[in-house]
Amino acid sequence: MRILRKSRETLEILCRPEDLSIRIGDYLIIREGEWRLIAQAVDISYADLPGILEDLLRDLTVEELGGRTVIDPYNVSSLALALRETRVLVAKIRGIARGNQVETNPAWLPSRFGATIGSASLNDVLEFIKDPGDLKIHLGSAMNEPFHISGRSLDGSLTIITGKKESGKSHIAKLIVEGLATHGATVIVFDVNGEYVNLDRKSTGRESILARCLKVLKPGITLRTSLQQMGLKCFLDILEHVYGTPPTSCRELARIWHSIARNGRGLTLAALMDAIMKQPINESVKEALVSRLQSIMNTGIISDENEPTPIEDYLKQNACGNVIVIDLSPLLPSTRRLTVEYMLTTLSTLLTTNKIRPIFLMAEEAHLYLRETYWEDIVTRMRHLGIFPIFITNQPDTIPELVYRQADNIFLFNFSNDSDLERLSKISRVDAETVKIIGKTLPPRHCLLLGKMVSDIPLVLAVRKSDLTTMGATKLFFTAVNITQVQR
Amino acid sequence: MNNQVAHQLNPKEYLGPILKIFTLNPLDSKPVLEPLEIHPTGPENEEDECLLGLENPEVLPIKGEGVTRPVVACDTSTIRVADLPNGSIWALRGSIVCRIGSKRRAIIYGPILYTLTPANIQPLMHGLYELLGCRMSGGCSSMQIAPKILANLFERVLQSQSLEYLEGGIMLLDGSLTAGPLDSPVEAMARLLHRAGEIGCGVLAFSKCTRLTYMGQKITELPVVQTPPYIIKPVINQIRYTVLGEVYVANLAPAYFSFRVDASLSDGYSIVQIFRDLLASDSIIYGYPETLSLAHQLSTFSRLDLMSLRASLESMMGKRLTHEFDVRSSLFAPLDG
Repeated sequence: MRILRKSRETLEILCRPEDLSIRIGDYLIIREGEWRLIAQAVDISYADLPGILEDLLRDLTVEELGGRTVIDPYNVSSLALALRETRVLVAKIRGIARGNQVETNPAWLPSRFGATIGSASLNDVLEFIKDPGDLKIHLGSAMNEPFHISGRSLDGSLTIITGKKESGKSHIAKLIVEGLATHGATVIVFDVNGEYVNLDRKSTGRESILARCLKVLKPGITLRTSLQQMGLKCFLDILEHVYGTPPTSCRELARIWHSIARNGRGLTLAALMDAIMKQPINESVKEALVSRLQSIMNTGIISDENEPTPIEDYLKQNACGNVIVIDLSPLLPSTRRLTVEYMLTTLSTLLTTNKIRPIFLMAEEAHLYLRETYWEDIVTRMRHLGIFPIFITNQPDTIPELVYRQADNIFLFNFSNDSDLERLSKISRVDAETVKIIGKTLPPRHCLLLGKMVSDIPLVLAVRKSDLTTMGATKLFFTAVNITQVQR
Repeated sequence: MNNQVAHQLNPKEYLGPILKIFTLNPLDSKPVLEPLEIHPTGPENEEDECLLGLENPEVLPIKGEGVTRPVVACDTSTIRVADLPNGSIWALRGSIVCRIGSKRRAIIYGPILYTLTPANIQPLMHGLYELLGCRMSGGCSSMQIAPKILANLFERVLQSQSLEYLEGGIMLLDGSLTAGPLDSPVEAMARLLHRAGEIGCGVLAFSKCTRLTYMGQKITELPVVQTPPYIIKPVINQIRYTVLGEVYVANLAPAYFSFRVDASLSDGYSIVQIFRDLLASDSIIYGYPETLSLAHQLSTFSRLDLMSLRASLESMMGKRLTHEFDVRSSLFAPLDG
């Protein structure tokens, strides 16, 4: 292989077809003396050779011949054929090092003729990644070798897992949950599809490593609160943002709330409704409030009779970690949003008062239940509070651009939609070409790692299998069993 | 169709003597200075301007159905690969294309690399003459025209080999049937034409350009009131070299080019008949037989061929080729390139 040209961070390397044992996304290492450079292969094309068009046209013409014999005593034609098949490998420079030191912005270029070019091993690439080395989470293999990320790279960070459906997003999310919990972290999962509820079981039916730390909360059943515990602000937020209550109605409710509290009466939903009915207020306001309160009561989440769920207790420090799964799957959209609103407010309060340690928040299809104003909160406030979101989505346009720009880590699975890739390429920390080319060619269960976890050196990861019961697979009709039954 | 070329590692028997001729002067041998001798050379393969008598020229329309016959075409090409202190390195390639009906087959010979120095021009020519079974009279010391002469002699060798595919067919040659110049020995040409006449219909030699004129106008541009295809039989009054065969002007396709065609026919075969059979046996593209075009294309060197030849040389010689130093460019560039 020989370096043909360099343009900014792009290298074009001439090579023969037999040199191309590497895949797109793999790394090359170029060495010259004490210098070494790693470059990631992003594309392969044909070399633009002088006279190649004539040659091809001649070949096309000669294709008409029924047979062609060449008597080439010096075997020159084989060299001509080999030259014709020359390829150009396009690679992106990811790092340059001199000795043991990674150089930033060096003016060094490898010699076109003197430098040696070969396939890089994972260790060659890891020399450029600032890995703390501890809190390892094994997610799979890169360049055919086992690869771990450090839990520290997810700590204090905003992480996005995105890709088209059935590409393996939920699978890696569960591996991350398992990895974080193993290191004693607390993970709260908003489970929209009911995929995480059986993480305490292996696929064999036995208990998994998460059995001791997994807690599934079903809103209205095992996740309940009281009005007192919820607080006025959270309740008003729910009325306004979840149930679209007009501001005037909210103000009336606040007044009634304070009145009940002042009179020392028990603050319950029933008492609130009763007070509203007795108040001399506008009938439409009364109707608006009562109907909404009735809806809230029907969810069962705010309960006057049952004890509130001790969330704080579930989040206490545990050597084997905490995984709290909020099962949103059977809920109506409004109830889902209500639950999330309540949970985020509660967590914020607990973190502000330092009653719990920082937590990781895993949110799948967050656009279904997170209100608009929360996105900015997530990016700005919550990181300081100690909530580290991990968003999973197959619709990258549902996550605001500001979230992407602030993302510290991205797990990019395959996208075939050009507009999705275009969007991601504009806002990722790596060049657009890498995202667009590699993002489109990733096979299933492979993802491109971007960001802090790999020190901005993109790496293609083959996600490992898991023995957890994941329940994220698509339910199909035409299975072997169904087909057999139909045939009978 | 599998487009991969089948390489024959064992050259055919007749190629051995050719290779032996072209390796007379190895690259690392010391140059030998020989006394300069002057030999008559003349403009090989070029005709003098000559006068044609076109009073009552015979214009023969080609009409009627012809018979499909094998068509064999042969062509060679030569290219300079590199210069040496005492000469240069050249490459030769030849091709024979045979068409029977819609089926075509080709054999490509080469590239054959050889060095050319003032010292080995004569031995090279002598070797090829011997191969053709001819006696060389005269010689050439001009490094400018020697490669062309050698290429044409090599073509004669291939032409004689192509006869084995000719059974009952028509042989197409590039150039004329002029014999006499150094690159076209009369004996060899006569033998070729005689043999072709014995086993096939005959030989047609198409010249892509001619200097034959009539009253200052090229014979291929004379106005003729006849719809193609047709041939014109001019009368040659004066020509320096021997033409083995008859000279015609053929216009085989409407609105395209006319060509000088020298024809040598087998007994009992008429000129109209052979052209009629040619039109039935081969495609005529821009007035030129396609099989002959193919032979030319297969023998021509492309830029990639030249690159690979130079790479092969470097590999064989263990030396690097460099570009020639351009004095003018060094002195006057960029103002006068």
